[in-house]
Amino acid sequence: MKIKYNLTKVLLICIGSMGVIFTSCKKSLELDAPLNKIDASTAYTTDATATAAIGALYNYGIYGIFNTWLANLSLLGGISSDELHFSYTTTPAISEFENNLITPANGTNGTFWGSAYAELLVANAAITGITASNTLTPSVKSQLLGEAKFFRAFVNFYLVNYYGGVPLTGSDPLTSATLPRSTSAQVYASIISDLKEAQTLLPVAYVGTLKSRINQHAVTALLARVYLYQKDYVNAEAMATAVIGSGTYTLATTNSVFVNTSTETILQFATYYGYSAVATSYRTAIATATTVPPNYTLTTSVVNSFDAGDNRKINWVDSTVSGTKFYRINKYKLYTAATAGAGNEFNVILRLAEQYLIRAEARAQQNNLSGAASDVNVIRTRAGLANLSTTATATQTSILAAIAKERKVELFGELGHRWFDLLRTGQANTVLSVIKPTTWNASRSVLFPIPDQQVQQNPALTQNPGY
Amino acid sequence: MQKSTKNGALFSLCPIGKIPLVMKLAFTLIVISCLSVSALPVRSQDVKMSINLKNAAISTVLKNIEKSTPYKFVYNNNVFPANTKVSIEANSLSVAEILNNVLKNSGFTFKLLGDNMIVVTKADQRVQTQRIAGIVVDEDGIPVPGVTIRFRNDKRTSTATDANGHFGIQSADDNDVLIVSLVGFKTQEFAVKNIPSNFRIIMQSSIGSLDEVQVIGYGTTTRQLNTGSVSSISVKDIANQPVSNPLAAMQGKLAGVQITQNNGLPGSGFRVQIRGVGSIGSGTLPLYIIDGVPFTLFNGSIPATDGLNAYGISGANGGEASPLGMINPDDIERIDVLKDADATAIYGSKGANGVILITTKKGSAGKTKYSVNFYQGAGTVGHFIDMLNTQDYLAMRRGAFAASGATPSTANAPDLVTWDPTAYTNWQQKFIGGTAHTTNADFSVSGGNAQNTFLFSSNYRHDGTVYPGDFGGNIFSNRLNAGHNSEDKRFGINLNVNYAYQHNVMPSTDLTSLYNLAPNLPLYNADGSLYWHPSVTNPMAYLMRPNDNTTTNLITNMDVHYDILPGLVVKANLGYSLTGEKQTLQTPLTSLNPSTVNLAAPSNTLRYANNTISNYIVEPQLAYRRKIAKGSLDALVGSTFQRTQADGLSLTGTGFSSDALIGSINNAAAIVNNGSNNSDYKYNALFARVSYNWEDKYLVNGTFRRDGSSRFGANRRFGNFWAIGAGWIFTNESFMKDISWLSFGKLRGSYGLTGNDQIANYQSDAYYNAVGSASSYQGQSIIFPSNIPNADLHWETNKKLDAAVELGFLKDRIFLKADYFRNLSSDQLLNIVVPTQAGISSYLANFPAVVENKGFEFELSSTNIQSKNFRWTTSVNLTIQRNKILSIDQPQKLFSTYYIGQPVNAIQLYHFTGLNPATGVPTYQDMNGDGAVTFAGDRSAAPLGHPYFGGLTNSFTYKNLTLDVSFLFNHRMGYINNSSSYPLGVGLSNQNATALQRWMTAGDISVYPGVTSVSTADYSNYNSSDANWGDASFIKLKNVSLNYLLPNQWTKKIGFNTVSVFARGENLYTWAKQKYTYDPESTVSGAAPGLGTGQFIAMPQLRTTVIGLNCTF
Repeated sequence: MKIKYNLTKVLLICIGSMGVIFTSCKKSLELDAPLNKIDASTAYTTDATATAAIGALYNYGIYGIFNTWLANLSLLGGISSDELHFSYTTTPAISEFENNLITPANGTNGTFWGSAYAELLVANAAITGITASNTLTPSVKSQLLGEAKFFRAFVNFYLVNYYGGVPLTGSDPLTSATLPRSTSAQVYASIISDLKEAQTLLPVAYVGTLKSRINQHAVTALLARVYLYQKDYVNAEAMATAVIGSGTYTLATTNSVFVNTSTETILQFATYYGYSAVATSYRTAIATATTVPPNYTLTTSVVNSFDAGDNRKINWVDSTVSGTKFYRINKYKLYTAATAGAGNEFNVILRLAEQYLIRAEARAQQNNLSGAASDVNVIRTRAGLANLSTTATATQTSILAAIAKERKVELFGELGHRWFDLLRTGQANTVLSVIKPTTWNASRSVLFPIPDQQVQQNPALTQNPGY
Repeated sequence: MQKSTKNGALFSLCPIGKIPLVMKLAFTLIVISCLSVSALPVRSQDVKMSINLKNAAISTVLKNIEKSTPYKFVYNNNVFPANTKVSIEANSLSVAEILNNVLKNSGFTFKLLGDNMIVVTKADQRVQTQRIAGIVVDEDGIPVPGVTIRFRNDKRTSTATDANGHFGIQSADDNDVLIVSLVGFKTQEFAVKNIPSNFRIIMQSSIGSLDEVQVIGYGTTTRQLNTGSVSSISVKDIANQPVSNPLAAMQGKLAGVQITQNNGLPGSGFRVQIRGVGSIGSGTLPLYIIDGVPFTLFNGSIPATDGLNAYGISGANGGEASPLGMINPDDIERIDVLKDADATAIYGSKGANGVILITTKKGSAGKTKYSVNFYQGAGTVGHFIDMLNTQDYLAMRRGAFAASGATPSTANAPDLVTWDPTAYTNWQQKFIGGTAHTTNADFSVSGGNAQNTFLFSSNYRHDGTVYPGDFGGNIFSNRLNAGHNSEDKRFGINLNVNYAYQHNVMPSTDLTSLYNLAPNLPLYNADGSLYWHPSVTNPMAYLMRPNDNTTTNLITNMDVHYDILPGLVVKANLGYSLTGEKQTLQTPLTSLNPSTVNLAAPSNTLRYANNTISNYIVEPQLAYRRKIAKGSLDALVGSTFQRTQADGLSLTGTGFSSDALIGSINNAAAIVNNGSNNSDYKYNALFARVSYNWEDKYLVNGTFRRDGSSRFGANRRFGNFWAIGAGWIFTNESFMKDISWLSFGKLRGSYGLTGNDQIANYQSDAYYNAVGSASSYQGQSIIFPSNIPNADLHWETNKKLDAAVELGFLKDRIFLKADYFRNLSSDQLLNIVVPTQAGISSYLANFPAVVENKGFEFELSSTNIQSKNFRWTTSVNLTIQRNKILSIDQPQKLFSTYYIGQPVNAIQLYHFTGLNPATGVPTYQDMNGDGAVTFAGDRSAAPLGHPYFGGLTNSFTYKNLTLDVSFLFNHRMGYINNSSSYPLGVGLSNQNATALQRWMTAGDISVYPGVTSVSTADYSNYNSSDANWGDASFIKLKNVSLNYLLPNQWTKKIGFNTVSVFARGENLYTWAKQKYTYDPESTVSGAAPGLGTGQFIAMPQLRTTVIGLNCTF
């Protein structure tokens, strides 16, 4: 039976060759990254891709989470304190912040927490990736690593102030997922360590125009604030002096502080369209001739704190003209623009005025009352006001009170300053228990709750007291 | 004469020494039968010749004869011993006389065959040859060309009928069996020795019979011998329905298969479910294969849809275009749906959701046939929702304000304060009350001969809409099919090329959604300009925002095969498809409320999207067939190389200086890239199937596939899938021969393992994403870590069990197929929630949850009456199935809430405990007793009842008149009033007639809550309570087709083969328990995957009637 023999041979050859083909299949299943993605292992191999990865820290999508987070830094802090009022009580997720009675299931709080960590993952991945990379140009590597460390410190700073000690996460998501909380001191140590390293890594010169990339002064400015919060007044003063004394920045007139060409800005995050996402969140309607209240109205507590003739009230506050008068934050004035360019507005993160107020407070705390007064007066002069009265500068207590009030009217609506000032100076209970007598709780309300879903999913997370 | 003798040289030029004589003879006979077409037979007594040779070899003598006469000799080259020399001297003798002389004492003899062929063999070898000639006709006596004629034993000899149905073939063995076959007809066998001269064979149509060819994965079988669960529809069922998408023709026809259309607009998508939902979170799309080419528009987008639109724009039809909308139903020969493991395991990790095999028409040998099919008709919305008139509407609104003590103002109640209280517009009539015109024209030419076949076809179709304005869709497609077989039939090749172009223009929004506009809403101001109110978009604006959608589709495939050895065939399937969808969506300034338009920076926009998906597949295969003992063995091995690439761009242009320039994105002041798609998918497999059939009694079928997909993780990229199927045709047992009423009985069963791979691409490895220009930072693009990699990511495992009985009664006049199935899907591909402190909130992984789908399927067909002039047939299908989550490990790791023991898509409802008779406010049961009715704690699973679905088709033929009537039905529980919103009167929305039965005054007994202008959770929960849940069953009169075939004698006179005129109706009537929706099967495109339930307002499938003409010549 010759046929059978041939057949077996042919069959064997065919099956054999298919086997060979198939074993070679495995290789052909390997895919290159699609054109709109790159393989994680190559993200930090070139200056261009590493820079793109750092770009994500600045703009995790214009409609994405980081911008919402930035806006919420200002808004949630604002309504938690005595600064802003949220008009739509039918949206309990936000009203709960105003009442300092946040349910752990609050969705806005959950997103706020999650967005911070999404940003931290990008920063941590960049720090790990850039550190490990040996193909980057040294100056670029230093710049990018510095920026990533700044961002990690920046986000951790807000997390520790809103939530207390939080998990210090790393670049591997599944490892980070189960970490417990670190103590508040550990988080601050990490922040200071990151910022100090960033200071040495970053040059004084900005990359590009419009001060929208982090430079050494920006790191120093944030470090000044961190030291102030830590009550390390010597270092706080030193850092603020370094920024003020650099001569790079000068105070702008009040109507041009938030323009992206402002001489006062130390750091701003550019936006794609050239207007601030924070600004658009403040209000529902652009026109003043409306009966509809804006999303967030400025409280009378802030409005009444301005001295007569304060240019900041004139230029930074406006109000609706029909029906009930609603005061609105008017620091940012652009609500629409086609594309970003010089003369538009970005999200201002750090500016010179805060540095004067930090130094004033640090000096006052060190009993350098005249030094403190001169710093406050710089700010008052720019606002078109007279110097502090002699009564105000008479004692440490009185000048600290003057500084606190100056911060209230200078920094309102910006990145939660008022809320943190009340907390770190121990004023929160005194001030807020009066305004919100039924809902304020001295032990609970000073921290936001850890989102309950997170506590369920990560048993190592402990809830804040009172929740 | 002289010329034809050259053919004789063939034999001496081709030494075929070592092959046994039998084979040579067989080969010869093939050549003979082929040559017989050209060579004129010569009578031996007519040819005389002279010859004079001394001591010559016999072969020399024969060569001499070949030179001088038309005869050709057939003999084995070294058969004549070298020492045998002959001498011959002849003058004008017949060839026969010469040969008799020469071979007299040589031990050789000869035989004269037809066609001047003379076989010389050893004297003791008896050659039994018989020429068989005849004609093949169909049941109507019309000759059938292209019928294959072959032998059971002599595999090398075959022929096909010519254009007139004639054939001639030479049999070398009296004991052989002649096999007569053609796709679509029953195969017949005849013992050669009993075949009469001038044999007349009558072919019987095999459709519906046990010999009907059943297409399965990588091959065919018959209904009789199939061991798997396959449901099919053929050309007849498809051709009867005036639909543009073949999936529409399948609705209600197949057991276990549920198909709903998203909406009734041209180009809208379909949802198909075969034996339920196996996957909790990943795709449930069946695998579509057209002539061997996988065809889907699923490009790794999530949720899985068959629409390129996942990265595009949607217009009123949702844009979730069904890929099969690009396949002309008239081009389809049959559709086979594979359901159980036996049938689907050969598709490995793609088989879990079932497989739909589409076989297109091929050319067939015979006289060139021209076919024209034309119809034209009109469609309307079959059912409108009964809404309140102006008077009742305004009363409801006033009541709402009175109830809450609020004051109507121009801002919150323009309908009460400013609009004309006597005005009334029936919005449904105005916006969806029109008539959609349909025109469809098909033209095809087919034909060929035994070796070459061809088919050209072309289709034009226009579908209008019921909207006002010039909206609608056009399809134009062309197709070519060409086939070739080598003379010896060992080599064959078949090519299909299909190109289709579809152009739809739709409004941006489905105008069906305007049904609840306030009936006194003014459209125009006194000066004729559009009226605008801050709370209401002027509905005329939607008509000004066209969505223009152009889809093109190329699908091509080539099959080649070559018979290496008897029974061994090597073949390959090569396919390529390319689908593109280009869309624009205009929002001109004129369609915007002028009070919100910033004229300095015009906010008119053009959205532009262009997506393509291309796919190639290469499948080399080896098939082997032989008899072993009393059975026949079929084996197949093959491998698959497939790659699918998708590419897309989505832009938004804004700031056109004039609406006149809005047509092109080039004219925009600013262009934003909304993010684009780019993906690549690779897939390889090795597969094998072995089946063994013992005397048509015992059938065993084993399938194996090992495949790898680029979607899976490095550790689990390749998986093994398999199935075993078996059948026992007990009626072929001798002990069953006496039971005459049972003509056929088969038990079959199968068990096996398939997989599901419908997840997004690029989930297993770590990537950094780049995003659109709007996410750049100062002009520099950004990248960020986008996923948590999972190297263990693999297919969803689907274990399928099927047990069935197939019974034919009364000579198969009644045929019943009943299946029990149970599919268990595990390794569920789901997004696993991780604490957000990870930075990414979830990742795709295989999750230990098990979903069960089980049920019964019945398909019954019967010929109720069969007389000379009248025939009545009925086919029914019924499916009873249940879907249940059997287990979930750690449910907290999932995003959404799923319940063990409930279906995957379980609905949780509040329990309505009646209205507060004093206030008309609905109340609910506080299930957890915490004093408040909450979303989290006070809902329970909606009752499911005993759902079943199916279809019923009756076909009546009286002489030349045929009437087909099809129903489909679905018995189910569901939402029963989806177009009321509570509280009634809270906004500017009209309500349906149930609002008239609402609670009005204290003490009223009603189930419909009262009015108020202030919404509370009690009211808004009402639609999510069991007050809005109940029997949502329906029956649709899906299709009626009346066909009249003009008498043959008339059509012959005008030169046509057949002419028929017909009238067809689609979606003629729906009996639905749910009166407050348009179509109980519609859904909103982009909504969660799953079948349409009519819960959302969408354009219904239209009530369409057409008349047309079909002729062939």
